[in-house]
Amino acid sequence: MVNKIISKKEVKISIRNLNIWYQDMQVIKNVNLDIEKNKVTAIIGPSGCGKSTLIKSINRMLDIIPEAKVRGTILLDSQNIYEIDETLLRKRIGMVFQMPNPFPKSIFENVAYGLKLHRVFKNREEVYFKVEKALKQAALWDEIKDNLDKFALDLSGGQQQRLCVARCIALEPEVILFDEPCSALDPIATAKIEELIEKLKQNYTIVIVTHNMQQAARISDYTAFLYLGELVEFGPTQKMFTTPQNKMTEHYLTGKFG
Amino acid sequence: MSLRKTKEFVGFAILRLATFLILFALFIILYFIGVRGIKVINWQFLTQKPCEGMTSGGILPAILGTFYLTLCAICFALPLGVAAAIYLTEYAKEGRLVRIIRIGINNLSGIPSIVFGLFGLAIFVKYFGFGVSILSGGLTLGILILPIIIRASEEAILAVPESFREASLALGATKWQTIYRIVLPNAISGILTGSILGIGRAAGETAPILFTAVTFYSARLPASIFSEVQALSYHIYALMTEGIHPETQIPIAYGTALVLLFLVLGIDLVAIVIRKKARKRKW
Repeated sequence: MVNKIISKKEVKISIRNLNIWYQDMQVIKNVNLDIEKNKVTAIIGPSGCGKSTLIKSINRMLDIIPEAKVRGTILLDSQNIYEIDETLLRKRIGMVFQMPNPFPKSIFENVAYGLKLHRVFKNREEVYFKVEKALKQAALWDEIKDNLDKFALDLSGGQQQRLCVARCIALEPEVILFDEPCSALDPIATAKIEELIEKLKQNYTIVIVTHNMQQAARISDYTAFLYLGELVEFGPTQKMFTTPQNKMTEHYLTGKFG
Repeated sequence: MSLRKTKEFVGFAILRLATFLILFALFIILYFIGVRGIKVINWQFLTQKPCEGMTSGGILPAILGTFYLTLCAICFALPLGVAAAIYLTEYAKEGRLVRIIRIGINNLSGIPSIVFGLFGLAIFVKYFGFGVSILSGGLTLGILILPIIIRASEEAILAVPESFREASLALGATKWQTIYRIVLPNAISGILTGSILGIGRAAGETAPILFTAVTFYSARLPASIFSEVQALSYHIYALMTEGIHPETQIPIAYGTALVLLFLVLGIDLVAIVIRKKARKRKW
């Protein structure tokens, strides 16, 4: 079923025969998946099915978990991610986490953090420019533009999450991974994040893990349904939500389990 | 009153009594030292050298000596302890080696302080040839408080939420960048608080400096880190055991004890202030 859905030219990330274990427990079983450039790909599935593990393998965040063992191939623009230095890989593939996790610094310092790590600026003016641009793209600028020195943890949960998005896109990544970005947010903040993702896909390739099927239906172009570590079904969202090919997908989407 | 309520009442009464007993003991000590010590304390006592065979005069050399010894201990133990704590918490993989190191550190804090004194004599005074000096005594005290500093630092580092590290690494930071830009700035207040408590301990110790740093009486104030010094704790010991004029020397000993007590309480107070300040802006 791999690769008949997306033409080869448009593939940004290609996952082949991916198997992941935590110690002896296999959490990802032979997953093959292509992610199209400048589209939103949603990964859905019940809790504990391996969604977060799958997404974390893409920017090699599993490297920091000693028990995790990864086998298989993940290609970013046809290059094996394990041939790219992990710090540079993570600069190209940004990540927004489930719980908003801004640093206990000012708003400005949060967004400038990645720029300083990679020294991707010539002077102070450029830092300001890039911070402003990122905050604007993350739809946070209008709310905090007079208050860049404000302590980031004093922002509301939704603002904190958009700050995390700004921090991520300040580095101008190619891909943004969202790991259940709205599960700690209220409906209004969730709507804002969804609106933001909609806008971001013009410039970025987006992968989003969500346990909220309505969310996947609303914002994604492609949906992958993961169950017990296996990729059960993958296809254009519209098609999958109207005519799922697999009985299990249908049961999950209609709420018979999950 | 039901039986359950009675049991609860008795239980709480015992707990309350235990707490008051401890407070009472602390109060008794303070009172006992306070009334005896306060009589001799005045400006001269704090700013002059002892004179007339240590039967009058002040304790300035001992105050300075304790200060220098403690300072030397911090300069040695703080960087070393913090570095070890960073290694143990952030870099070392849990395994046999780390377990052995941890056991070693824990046992280090169980060693009687007089043994540290002997060790300091053998290693710093004799082997390295530092002689009986501030340096030898400070290093010995430093080793004594290393376990306290390491443990305080480890706790402070582990208290920094994992999500901060994840966020930093996910932005492409190296582990080292993450440690010095995120982990350490957020752990520093905890590290300092714990370490300062250790420093208070060092200031009050006698046995480790007995053979390594102190002298009964020195006519001059210490000139360098290779000078031998007087120290408050040893001054008390010397006055009480070697004095030949107890009627004038015992009050001086109590005065010295009171000064030492205030010094240690003062150091602890600094720790409390730092902790309070850092608490204001926590995640």
